Amino acid sequence: MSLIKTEAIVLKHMDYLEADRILVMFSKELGKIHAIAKGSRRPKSRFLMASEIFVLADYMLYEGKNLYTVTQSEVKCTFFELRQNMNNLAYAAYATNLCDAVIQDAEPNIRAYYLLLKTLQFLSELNTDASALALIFAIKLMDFIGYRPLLDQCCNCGKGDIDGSILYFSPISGGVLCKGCAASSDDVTAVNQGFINTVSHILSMRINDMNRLKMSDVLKKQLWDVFNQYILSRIDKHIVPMKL
Amino acid sequence: MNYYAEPISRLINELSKLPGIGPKTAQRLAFYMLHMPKDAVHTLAQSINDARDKIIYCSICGNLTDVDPCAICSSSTRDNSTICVVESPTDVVAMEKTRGYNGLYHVLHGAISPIDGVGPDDIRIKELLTRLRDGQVKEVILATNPSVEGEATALYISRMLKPMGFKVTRIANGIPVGGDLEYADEVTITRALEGRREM
Repeated sequence: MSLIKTEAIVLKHMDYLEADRILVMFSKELGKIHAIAKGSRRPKSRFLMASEIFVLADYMLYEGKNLYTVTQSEVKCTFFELRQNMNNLAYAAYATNLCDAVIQDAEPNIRAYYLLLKTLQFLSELNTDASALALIFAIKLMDFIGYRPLLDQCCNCGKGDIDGSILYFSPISGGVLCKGCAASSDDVTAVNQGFINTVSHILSMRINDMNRLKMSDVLKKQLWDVFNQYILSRIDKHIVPMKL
Repeated sequence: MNYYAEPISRLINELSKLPGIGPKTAQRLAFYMLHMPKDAVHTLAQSINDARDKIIYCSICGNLTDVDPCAICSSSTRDNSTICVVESPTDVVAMEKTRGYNGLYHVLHGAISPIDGVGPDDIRIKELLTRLRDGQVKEVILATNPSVEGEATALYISRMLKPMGFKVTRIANGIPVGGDLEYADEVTITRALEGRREM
């Protein structure tokens, strides 16, 4: 019998039997895992807080056949401020839902882990642009799992040096298209150079600087529209932030 | 291949549809029922039927009841200037067991959950607002669970009701009776400290 110590964020939980919960956690060392926290729904349970959504904690886990079992926990951060801001809570839920949908079981992805952790930290702060943060999170997460949009050449014919005041972005093809390829594609969105530069900047920016990027509402809306389609075409699931 | 006689197989199949009951437990329960006295089996079947047929939602508070309005809503001894908002009918039972509350209830049948895609329109918030229009209610106690979903629901309702002039209160958070400070997290302890009382 071996115990594993790991730092993890709770993405979601399901009630199980009388007083247990099955946690879907994003672990720094183990990737996405499922663990049972026995008795965690009882008011006096020592796992009560450690089994709440968004909680960051150190967990001691025992590996079973199908599930890990939580044996000890030490809560590091509850991101409690998220509960006091409906808008930020909706975007934080979007971030955890997207992680749950795109991260494969038991495949560690330390960059994606820090991206989620930093996003939750920024969303817990006052006066943050939650919509912009969630958008940056989504674009970077897709990059970190291997779906980086192609911006410097046509993703259909490979033609480089695509220039012009109007460019074409195809969510299904996964990046920009040249004028010729765009004419024969029916999912293209006409975008300007500012759109491409912003996506390029988001892809290259450090995680710690995520909250510094300022975007106009028009650009944000266009980015959301395009990247919702982009994510849908990659993972075949429609995940959007809830309007509250 | 079917190893059981058709009625047993059907019983196992029906029992395994219940939450938390797997095929093995369903099999065990089915065989237990076959060994039960005939009267006891009929009483069990009749109880399930009765509960399903006679239980309805109270048209005022949304609680489960066999008469409409429910016993709490139609009681003349209850304080109808206070409404306690809870997530589920089981929460009403938990509150009633305390014998410390004499007001009315409103059951939401859920909580706002951005994670599961449950929005304000999916729970009985609209019905609460309709109920408050008669002007009798002075205080609304938000007794949703202290979870992310419960807090979000309480926040949403309080933001709607406060501008309308209602006194909106939230049940206290803190260390449970018989709990252990060592295992309590910093948020719980902070909340417990904020809500401390002079002795």
